[in-house]
Amino acid sequence: MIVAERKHLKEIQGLVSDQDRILIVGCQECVTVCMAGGEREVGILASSLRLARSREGKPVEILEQTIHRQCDFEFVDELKDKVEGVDCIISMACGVGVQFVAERYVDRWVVPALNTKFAGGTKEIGLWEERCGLCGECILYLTGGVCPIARCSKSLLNGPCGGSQKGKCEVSEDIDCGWQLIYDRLQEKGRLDLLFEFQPPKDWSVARDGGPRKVVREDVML
Amino acid sequence: MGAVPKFDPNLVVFACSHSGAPAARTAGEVPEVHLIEVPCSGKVDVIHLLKAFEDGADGVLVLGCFKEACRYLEGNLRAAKRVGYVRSVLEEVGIEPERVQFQHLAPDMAQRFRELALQLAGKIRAMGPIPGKVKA
Ligand code: SF4
Ligand code: SF4
Repeated sequence: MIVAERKHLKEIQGLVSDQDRILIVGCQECVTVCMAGGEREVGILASSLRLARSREGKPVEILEQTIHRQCDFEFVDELKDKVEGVDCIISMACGVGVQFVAERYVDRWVVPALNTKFAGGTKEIGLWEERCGLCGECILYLTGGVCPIARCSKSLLNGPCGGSQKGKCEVSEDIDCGWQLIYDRLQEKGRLDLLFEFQPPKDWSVARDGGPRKVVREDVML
Repeated sequence: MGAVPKFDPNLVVFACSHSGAPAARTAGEVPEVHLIEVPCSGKVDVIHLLKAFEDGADGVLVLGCFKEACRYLEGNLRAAKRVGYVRSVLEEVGIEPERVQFQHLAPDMAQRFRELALQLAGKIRAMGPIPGKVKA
């Protein structure tokens, strides 16, 4: 899933300081799971903004709606009625959702409430970790299912580097060395032989370096 | 400076039905307190506390069982964490975080209930009402 984190209230407040009627839109997918922009967080942000604005003597009217997915126009269209009553929309989705909402309601000011962080998963409740660098050509079969792009700080293909110390990465002792994880995993699987294969440079043109990407499935298009 | 106008704070107390609520019932009425009984303090979510402030509370107290005594094992721990989170929200909003508190209580501690409510009322009286309160 896409993992995101809410911006500080002060920043969001600044983005809408001259708006008096606001719709806050949540998303029931990834950002609900990572507790950043689901129905619960919409309620908390709405309440915090109302309290902050009344404290400033500038009360604000806030509508709330959480839709199934903000990255699908089909669901974004459900906002139509509420959008009519406001000047501004705060989207609590990932950057994708914010853009879909902004694209659909071009005559409204649309601002993000979240910082979109990474593609990752829930390690435990309250802890989410990055797992995939969205490189466009997966090589997890070479590394025992540990991603060298996302989990090595330098995205090395032939690691580890000389900075790997006692399982930790030289970038920070809070980061496990991705290549140590790969080594341990392959050892567990009895496949250390894979490490003897030299990996040539990756084709980064299928990643972000090739510009914005598209996936097309003509067989499902009408 | 002119005389400070008299201010009677509104306190909302969320009380667990296994501890705070029976203690409150035995204690009898405390004028400032609006009591809300909940099945477990863990039932109280962040939004309930924020809404209490939106609806005019000047202070909010959440009462749960003592650490190992929660009927639902971890409800009181969750409640304490949520109160901590609400404190950080209040701070961001510009409201004194001390206006919301979590306290442990046993069902037979009526006297302590009264003390806690009056203590918080005293603190809040000293702080005064929240500026630009949403509702009176
Ligand atoms: S190799 Fe590429 S696609 Fe596979 S997990 Fe890593 S970044 Fe993601
Ligand atoms: S120490 Fe490990 S994770 Fe850090 S850059 Fe080197 S190989 Fe990558």
